[in-house]
Amino acid sequence: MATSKNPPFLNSVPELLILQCLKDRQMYGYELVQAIRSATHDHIVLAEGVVYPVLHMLEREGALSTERRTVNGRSRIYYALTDRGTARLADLASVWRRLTAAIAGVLGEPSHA
Amino acid sequence: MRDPIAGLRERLLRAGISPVRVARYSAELSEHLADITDELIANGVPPARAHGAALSRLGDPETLAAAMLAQPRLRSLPSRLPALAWLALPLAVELGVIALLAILLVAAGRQGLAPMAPLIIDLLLLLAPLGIAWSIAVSALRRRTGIAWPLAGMLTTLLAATAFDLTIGSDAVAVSLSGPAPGRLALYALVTITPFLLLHRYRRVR
Repeated sequence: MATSKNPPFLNSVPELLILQCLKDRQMYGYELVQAIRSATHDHIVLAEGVVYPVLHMLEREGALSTERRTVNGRSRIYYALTDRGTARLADLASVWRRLTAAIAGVLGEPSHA
Repeated sequence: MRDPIAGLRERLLRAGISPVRVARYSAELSEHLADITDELIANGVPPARAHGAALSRLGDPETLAAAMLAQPRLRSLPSRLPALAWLALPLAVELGVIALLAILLVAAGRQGLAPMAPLIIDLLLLLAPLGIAWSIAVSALRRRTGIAWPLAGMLTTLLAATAFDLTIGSDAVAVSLSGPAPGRLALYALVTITPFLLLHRYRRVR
């Protein structure tokens, strides 16, 4: 499918990873960053604090819900995917698959000597 | 060592992020920092080095501020629409208070309620603009806002408060626009704008 414009896809990588990691269970920020590191085999390492503005934005847009809990004396804000977040994850994943397939196609082309 | 999260907090407030969001971001970062530090110590890093290493993993203050400021929708309403937040909203509240008190006065007169009612309403009319102006001042100081918009909002509210007259008759209440009363305006300004300017200056110097 041809699209006139692709979203700034590198900007949507943290969002995609966050939504994907929260698909199965709710997590707080530190847990989420560890899950991203583990899922990407440490290939994607962010400054860990930058995850929070993305979480706040996703919450504001209704893609995530939050719940405050105190665990072992520490206050945690747990994030969970909402229905809107699930739909957004499906959209982003679909865009990402198309883009990676397109790039893989370009990289897979034989070189002309 | 200076607390980098405290520095970040000031920077975000001055950039127009709401105090509530800044407080939440700071709290989450502090908890996250503590989690990384614990993890490093559990993995054998000496406690003296763990905090520095944890700060490095968390991200430098520039990166953390840029990540928040890159989300324009996380900026507060006063930062995005200052005329609405600092001018229109307080003025609407002041005019709403005047209208509400006029209605209450009429109702009190019709139902023959306590003779003290007009006095109480007069007192509320006197205090309402002070309350609104002080709310503007406190909000501006909390938000580290510049001086211009809050000052304009306070002046507008006080001008509106001193420009309207509620005249109480035996069976009716008249609202009239009489122009600002200079003495009352000066008194209002003295107890709201002057302390605001002093506190604003104190905060900047500090």
